[in-house]
Amino acid sequence: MNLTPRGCSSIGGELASCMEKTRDTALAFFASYGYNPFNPAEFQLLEGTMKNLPRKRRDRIIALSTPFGEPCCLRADITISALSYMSTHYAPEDFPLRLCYAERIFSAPTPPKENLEDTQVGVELLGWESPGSDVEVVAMLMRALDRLGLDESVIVLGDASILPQLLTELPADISEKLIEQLQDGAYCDFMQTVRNADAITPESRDILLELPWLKGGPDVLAEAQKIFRSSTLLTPLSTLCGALESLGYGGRVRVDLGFIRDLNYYRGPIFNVYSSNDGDLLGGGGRYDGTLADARFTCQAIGFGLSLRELAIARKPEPETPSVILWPGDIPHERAILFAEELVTAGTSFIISWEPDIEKARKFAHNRPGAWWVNLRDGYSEEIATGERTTDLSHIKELSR
Amino acid sequence: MTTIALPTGRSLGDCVEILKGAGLPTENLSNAGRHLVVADGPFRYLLGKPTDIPTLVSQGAADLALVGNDVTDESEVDVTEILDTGRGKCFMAVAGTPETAVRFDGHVTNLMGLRVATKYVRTASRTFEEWGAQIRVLNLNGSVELAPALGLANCIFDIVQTGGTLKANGLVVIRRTAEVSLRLIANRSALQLRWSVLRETVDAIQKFVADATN
Repeated sequence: MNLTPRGCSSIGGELASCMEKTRDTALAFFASYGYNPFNPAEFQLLEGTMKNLPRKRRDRIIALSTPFGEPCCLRADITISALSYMSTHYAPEDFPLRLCYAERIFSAPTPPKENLEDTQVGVELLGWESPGSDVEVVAMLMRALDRLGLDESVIVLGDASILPQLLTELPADISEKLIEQLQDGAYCDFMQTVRNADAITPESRDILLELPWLKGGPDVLAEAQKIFRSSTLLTPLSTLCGALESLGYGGRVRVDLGFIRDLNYYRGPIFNVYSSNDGDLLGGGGRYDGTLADARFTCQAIGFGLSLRELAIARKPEPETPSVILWPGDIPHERAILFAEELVTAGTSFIISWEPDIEKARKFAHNRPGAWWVNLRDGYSEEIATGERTTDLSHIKELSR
Repeated sequence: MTTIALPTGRSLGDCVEILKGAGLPTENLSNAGRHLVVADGPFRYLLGKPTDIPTLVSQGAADLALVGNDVTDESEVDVTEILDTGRGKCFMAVAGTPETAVRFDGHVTNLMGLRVATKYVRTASRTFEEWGAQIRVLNLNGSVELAPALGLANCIFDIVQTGGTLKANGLVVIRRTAEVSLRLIANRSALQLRWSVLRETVDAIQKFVADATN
C-alpha cells in the first residue's frame, strides 16, 4: 500500500471538489478587481528566501538541492516569489502590480500541526503608496468571503508598526526581547520585562503594560487613543476600520493591538481572518514594506493568503451526486459516448456505468439517490427515488447540473 | 459558554481555589468524581492530564486553562500565557552528583555529549542548545533521579520543589534554568475573537491573584 509521507495528505471527495470550486470562485473574483494570475516556481533559491523570511519561518523551510546543484527550498512564501517576479519583470513606472494565485506552500509544521504543505489562495498588491491599497485589499478579502458564502467570517486587525514605534527609546536587545515575547504570546514574560527594564519611562511602561489587553471591537481604538501619546500611531488602523464599517462590516471587525507577527517582514496593518466568531483561522496577511525595501523598492505592498482547505471546510462541502447514471448494457460503446456528449452540451452531470450485469448496474445507481438511471440498451429512464419509468429520454437532456 | 481546562492531580486543588476565589462557580467541579467534563453555570470545565492541557487549548477545545509553564513550554504549542498565578511555585533545573556539577563550572565544551535524563525532552534539548552544548537525552517519564545512580545518565533535567527527592538520591541542583508556576493560558483565536467575553473571567482571576499576593 502506498501511504503519503508524514505531514502530507491526499484530498479527494467532496472536500477536493469544494476546494476546486472555491479556488475558481476566488480567482474569478480577484480577476474582476484587475488581479492577474501568478504561477510562481515551486522551488525558491535558498539565499533570497533566507534573507527575506523572519527567523522563525526560516527555521521551518524545507531545503534541498536541485539537480543543477543550486541550494533551494520548496516554496515557503509566495510574497517573495511575487517580489522577485516584479523586480525582474517590471519597471517602477509599471506599478502597481496586482497578482492573484492559488498555489501550495511548504514548511515544517509547528506542533500540534503536522501538515508540511497547504494550498493558499490570495492576492498581492505591489508597489502602491496609498492607504487606499490597504482598504482595497482588505475590502476585497471581505467581499470574496461573502461571495464564498462565509458571511459570518471575522477579520482581526492589528498593526505591526505600533510596537516598534513605542520601543524606539529602548536598547535594541530589550526591544527585540519584548517583540519576541509578545509574538510568542508570552504575556507574563512581556509584563515582567516591561516592569524590570530601567530604560522604559513610566509613561511608556503604562502603555506597554496595557497594549496586550487592547482587544475587542473597533471601539478599542478610541480606548487606545486615550492611552497613546502620538495622535498618528493609530491612523492606518482607524482608516481601515472606518472603511470596513462604512462597507457594512462593522460587526465583523475585531481589533487586537497586541497582535504581532513577523516584524522584520510586516510593517503596517496586519490581519487574521476566521470563519466565524468561534470558528477556525482561514489565513491572514498585511502590509510588508520591509521586504520591499530589501528588494530596493521604497514603496508599500499588501497581500493575503487563505488556506483553500480551511475555506472549503468552512463552506461545509456536501457530497455531489451526478444527475444521470448511464447504463449502455451491450450497445456499442461509442453510442453511449455520443449520448453522453449530448448531456455535456446540455450541461447535465452524469457518469457511465460499464457494469455488464443489469441488476448490479441498477444497484450501483440506487446507491446514488437523487439521480436518474438511464438504460440505453432498452431505451428508458428511471427516477431512482420513485422508480418511475419513461421511454422518452429527451427530459434527461434538460436536467441541469 | 466559556470552557476552562484544568489539570488533574496535585494542581487541581490550587486551580479550584483560584477559580472559587475569583467568584467562578465551582460547586459541581468540587464534586466532579470521575467526570472529565463538568458544567457549572456559564462555565464548562475540562479535566485532563496536565501534559494534555496545552493541546486542548491550542486546538480550541478550551478557551482558557490553568497549567504549569513547564508543561506549556515542553508542549511547544501555540497558546498565549496571560497570567502568572504565583501558585505551585517550583523551578526547572539541571541536577546531578557533585562530581558532575564540576563539569558545569568549566567551559561549555565539558558539557558536550552529556547524557541527560528527563521527561522534558524538548525543553532540555533547547536549554542545552542555548548554552552551546549538544547532549544525549534519555526520555524517562518518572523517577528520573534513578538514572544517575544506575549509570544511565550524567545528570537529570527536572522540576524541583523542595529538593528532598534530589537529596535522598545523592543529587544536588547544578543549575537553575527557569521559574515554574501555575499559569493562566488562552487559546489564541479565542483571545482575538472573544476577548470581550473572556475579559471578565481573566480580570476576576487576575484580581484574586493580586489580592492574594498583597
